[in-house]
Amino acid sequence: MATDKFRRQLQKEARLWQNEGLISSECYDQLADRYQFANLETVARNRFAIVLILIGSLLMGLGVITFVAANWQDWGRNIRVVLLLLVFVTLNVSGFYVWQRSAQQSWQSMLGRGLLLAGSLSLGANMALMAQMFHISGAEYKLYLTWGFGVLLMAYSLRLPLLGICAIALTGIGYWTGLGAVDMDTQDWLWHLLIQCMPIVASIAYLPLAYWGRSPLLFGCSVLAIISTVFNNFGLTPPASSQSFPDALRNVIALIVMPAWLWSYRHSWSDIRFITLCRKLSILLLIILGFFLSFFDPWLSSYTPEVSWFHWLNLSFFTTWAGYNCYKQIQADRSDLTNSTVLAILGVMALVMVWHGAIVPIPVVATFIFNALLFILGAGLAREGLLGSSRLQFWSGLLLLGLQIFSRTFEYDTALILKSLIFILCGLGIITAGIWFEKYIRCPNPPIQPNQP
Amino acid sequence: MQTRIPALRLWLPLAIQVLMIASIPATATWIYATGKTVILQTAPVDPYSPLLGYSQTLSYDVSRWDNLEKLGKMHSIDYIKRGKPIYIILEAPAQAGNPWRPVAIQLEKPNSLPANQLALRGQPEYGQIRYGLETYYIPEGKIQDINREFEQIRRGLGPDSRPPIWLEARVGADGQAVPVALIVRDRRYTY
Repeated sequence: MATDKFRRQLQKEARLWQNEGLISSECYDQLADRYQFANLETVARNRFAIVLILIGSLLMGLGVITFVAANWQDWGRNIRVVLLLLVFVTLNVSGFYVWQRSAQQSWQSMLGRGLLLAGSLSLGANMALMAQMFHISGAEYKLYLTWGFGVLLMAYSLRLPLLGICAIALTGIGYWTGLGAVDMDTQDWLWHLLIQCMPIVASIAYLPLAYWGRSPLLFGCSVLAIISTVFNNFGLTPPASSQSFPDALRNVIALIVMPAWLWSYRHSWSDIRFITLCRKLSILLLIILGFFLSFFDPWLSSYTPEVSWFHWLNLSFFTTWAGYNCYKQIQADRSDLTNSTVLAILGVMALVMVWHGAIVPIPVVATFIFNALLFILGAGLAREGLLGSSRLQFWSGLLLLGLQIFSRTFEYDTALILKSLIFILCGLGIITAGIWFEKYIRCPNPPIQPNQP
Repeated sequence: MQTRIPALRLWLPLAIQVLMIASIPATATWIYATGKTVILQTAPVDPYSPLLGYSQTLSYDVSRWDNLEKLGKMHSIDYIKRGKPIYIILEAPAQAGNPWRPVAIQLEKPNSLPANQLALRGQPEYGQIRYGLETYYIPEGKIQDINREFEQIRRGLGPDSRPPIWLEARVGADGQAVPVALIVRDRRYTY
């Protein structure tokens, strides 16, 4: 599908061509019909309306929330309760019917969704105001978690990705504020359990909605939410030496399970966009892990963190899931070079870390191996960029290689003259690679010259 | 047109959300309707914690560990674990309108009490006991007046004086309490 910008430009150019006699009016009509010039203004109007409606809805929701702070005290409490519930129900009901009775992607449809969003925001306002009117005090994180749950319920029922994203944001606020507040010894053990098992809860709560809503944005938000809660729960540390085998294995699995889970992520309902996003995130995490462990200092660590049974529960859940997916992936396509390379990199990383942690400390060898793996990742990215003519991938690969070279230059005590030489060579290398790449993507295969008679 | 979604898919989650909203004041409403009225003496207002936002943070005589130790016949404070609720037995004053007096402390809810006594449930936390009565929301328009009155009271307080500020609360059968009114000198503020 051509972008609106291209269509608008084409419409402008086509008019010029018609006026100059380069194309006939039939040709213009064909172009107009094919690229739907008639819809261009409507699309622009709709997009503008969509933005306004979204901003308006957010402001409306914030307005209701701010209303809480204004302490609406002039009327009796019963009247206030009834009015608030009325506003809440009206927003949701009107939003639903406006959304349902309008054409998809029309401004009315967006208005309906905006009203539903405002209704979801007013759910929190209602809850907070009820607590305030009845002088009930409580931890804020409980409000956000409950609010997020309520919004998620509506999101599932209506299969609306916008509400799903709102639910993720609210639950995220509840999670991060609740981490320090909740305590296992008090009556809040259920909330503590919810927060500590949030990685599992988030996977079960958000991913199905992303699929049913067919929303890459919601899927991306879900995956980011899962990753952030996992990393917080696992408490990642560099692989320490002289550990017991179970401790070393646990530590290593904690470090590589998320890249493995993301890389092998698949489902019978898999949308290719979801898989692509997961793979990109997986490579990013691998690069971060590889970059961090390409330094020498982390390999000198001897710190083994204390872990709770929640850590084991979350770790087991994702390890089982990732392990199963990796196995199915290998079974499905053994000839995919990229897939094999990434899984091999994960395997080598795990082996080196376990060896260093539980068998013999090998800081020097481990640093060398991780630098080699990082080089392979960078070169692999650049190669993928070349094959797919993707500037982003190619330059990401080169950037990674350059970053690796600079890191080693500054990590070790090298002479200024060597640093200067490296900078010059890197600069020359980038210029040469850039020019060559641009030339390559313009003419990837030289034309075959026919034999002259 | 969109693929039509049955209206039930709106009304069902909406009903659950309304129940969620209604559940917040449900317990408080029940206690208001069925509970016993009690007057609690507030502890001196911390001069370094001015009125913040739109609520007054309250502390009581029965909020402090050292005050509870003076009760005598009670389990040792060592037995009180943070996280487990405790019950303060309050006795009605001889003269109505005066604050109720703490007479005992128990780890379990008492099965029966004399007519002039009731049990108030508290949650030990970080060196004090919380009763769910620590916050009293005050409307924006009234904050300045109450602030001024509190400031006047604070200036007139001696080191061991009790401020003439009391909280009227309703206590339910299970010991949970909800605030009803703030009594400052002879004025009763209900919000």
